[in-house]
Amino acid sequence: MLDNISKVLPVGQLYVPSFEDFKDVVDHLSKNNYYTNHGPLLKSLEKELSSYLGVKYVLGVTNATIGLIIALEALHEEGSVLTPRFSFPATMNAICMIGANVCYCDTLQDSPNACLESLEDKLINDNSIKTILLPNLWSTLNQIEHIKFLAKKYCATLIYDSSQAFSCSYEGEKISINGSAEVFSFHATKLITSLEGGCITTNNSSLYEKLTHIRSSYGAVGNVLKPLRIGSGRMSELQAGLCLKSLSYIKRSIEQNRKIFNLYKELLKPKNKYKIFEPGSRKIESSYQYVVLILDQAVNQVRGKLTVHLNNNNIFAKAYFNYDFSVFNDENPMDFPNSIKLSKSCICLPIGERITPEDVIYISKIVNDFFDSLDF
Amino acid sequence: MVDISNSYLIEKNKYIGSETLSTSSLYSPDSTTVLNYIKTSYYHKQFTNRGPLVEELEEKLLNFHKARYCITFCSGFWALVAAIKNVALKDRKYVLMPSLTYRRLDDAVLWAGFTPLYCDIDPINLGLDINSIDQKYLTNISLILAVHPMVDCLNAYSISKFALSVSIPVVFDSVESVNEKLPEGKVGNFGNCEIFSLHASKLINGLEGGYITTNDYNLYNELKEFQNFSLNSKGELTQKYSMNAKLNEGHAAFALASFDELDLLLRHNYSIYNEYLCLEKLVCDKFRIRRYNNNMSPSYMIIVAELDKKYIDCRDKLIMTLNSINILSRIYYFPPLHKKRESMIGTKDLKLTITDLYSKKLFLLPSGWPIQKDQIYPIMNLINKIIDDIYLKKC
Repeated sequence: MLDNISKVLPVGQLYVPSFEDFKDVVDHLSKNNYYTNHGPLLKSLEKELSSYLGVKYVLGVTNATIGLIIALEALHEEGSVLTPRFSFPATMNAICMIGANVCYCDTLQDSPNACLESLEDKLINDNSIKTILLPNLWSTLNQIEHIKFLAKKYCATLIYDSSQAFSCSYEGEKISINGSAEVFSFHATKLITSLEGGCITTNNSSLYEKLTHIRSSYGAVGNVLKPLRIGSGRMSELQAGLCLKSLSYIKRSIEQNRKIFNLYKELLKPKNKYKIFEPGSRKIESSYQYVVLILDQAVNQVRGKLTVHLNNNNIFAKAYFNYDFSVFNDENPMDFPNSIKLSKSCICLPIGERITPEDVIYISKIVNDFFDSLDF
Repeated sequence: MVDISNSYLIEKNKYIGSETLSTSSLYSPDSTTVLNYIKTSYYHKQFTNRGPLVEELEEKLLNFHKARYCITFCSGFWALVAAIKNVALKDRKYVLMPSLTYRRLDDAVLWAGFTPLYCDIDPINLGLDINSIDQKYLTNISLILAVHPMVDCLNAYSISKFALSVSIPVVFDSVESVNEKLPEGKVGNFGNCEIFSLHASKLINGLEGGYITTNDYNLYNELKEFQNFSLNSKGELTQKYSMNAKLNEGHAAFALASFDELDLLLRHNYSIYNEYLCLEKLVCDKFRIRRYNNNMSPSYMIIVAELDKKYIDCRDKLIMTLNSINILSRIYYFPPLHKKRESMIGTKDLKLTITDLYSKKLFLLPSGWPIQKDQIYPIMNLINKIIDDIYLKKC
């Protein structure tokens, strides 16, 4: 019975390899006695990812935040790093961890993508900005050519935080080479997973050498001038083995996401009270890892109530991302109206391995009933 | 001309075996135990973000160390950065530390936003010597980073007492002293906090990972926030400097399985160490094995050899030769950190006499779980021969 649903419905992707897959990897580790420090499974994963993404160099890392820290450490020389005032905090954490200043631009209205006017305005007026770190959120992509043009025009290094956009394509090509470096996440809540984990991609051989030096004390390649700070960003053989398994199922996982996303679109009745964010477009092929509702201004004050209502029905919907980002930078939040509005009006519904069509019917009914019951 | 390296390799393969020998612990926990643990994560469908195995591991570790709080990390390195960042006095510049130590210790200090300041070591235990601290720097020291050496232990009590007397916090890097009991208590209870590693080369094999023990509740909470994007229990961002440094459930499963079988590894390590001691007579004119203090319940994990001064110049070539025949012996902490970044402020006018002396005469012999007791005799014989050959300039 739909109204007696007892299983917990999470937001994350959770395409975690099966217990049998886990056993396979553990058996492999026990047989080879190779556990970490750039072992054979990691090398194999990096090769597979390089081929899948169509990029020359891939570095597996402990997690995506560490990937961002390493990429920034390798590429950002001094000054501030520009990023939209709307992302998962890891984007800003990474900037602070390398000791750089966070500088914000606004997002578009009803989209997590950077507003290009706001971005260019910052680049014109703040000459301390030397790097742009752009998140590709909700499995959608920024306006890649235009941003590349702006980065070049203002001599800024461009890095993409594509933690939420693995396997998305832009004009038919998988993203991975649109900035000097691009970072992906393999957290358990992502499309492919190594429980925690991530990777950095680049086509630049000297950057690759520098990244390998910063990543860890072993496994560095080339003879680049040693960076000042070396970190620890190794991915273990267990992580690499699980990620390889996960990658082998990716086609099926994306297809599952697409079906679930389309079913939501079919069943949800927004009636001008919210929009379902569409991550794909003519140019963008999404991997549909997120189903995001953006509430209309007239109803966004009920988001908290809706979240609680969904949670009470075992639907762990989340406000993605409702944080006070002033902790990283004290610019007036009112200067970023779209970001502020977005953080107050979006809510993310469950999608991923554990969500069945029956679950979508159940969730949609609860959401539809909730909005029908509102007296506006 | 005789190809001496090849003859070493033939001898190694014939008497020791063809496998690569290292100085890493590389304990292989029982696969069934690992899988039994991970079943819990599959049951709860939680694989990271402080899952059930991470909590179970932390509980076991805090009981083991008899500490109040324990928090696991994705690596010992980032645990170290977290500890320095959250413990050091913010308005001061230097972190006082030894130079003959873990080769990434200075990187951890730099990531935390401080500058390393080196002091000399005690020739008895090879750990930081508080008597060598240059008093003129004292008012600008934000933290004492005391590292337990590979063999033997620091006098953690007297270092803590000194730190208290000068109002400087102290963090112990106890990566090499997991099992030790000091007269004043178990390692894991000293200073503001203590850092440990769960890397595969260490005593507890979590593949990658680390943990911090502390008796300070506020610090425990700060560290918890630091490793989770600075999010507090209400989901609010609390601080600028933070990251994702969480341990995943897979690594926790390995660490738990290794921890359960710790006695097995300790017995193995002791038998290897004891065998080296028994066979020391074969090489006693060339080097001696540095002794563990049996009263401290050591792990006997690493075998440190100290060359006689006559053979000091042979060391680097010895290591190179051994590595070329798949015996991955290592120099004891190389290079000393004050030689690595000589331009660094705070190291320029320091005289580290004992550090310089010991940085030339120590090396590590093969050890760890994969080494068998009957391999020690041919290892010692071969090393004896290679040192003789190097000394007589045959190779």
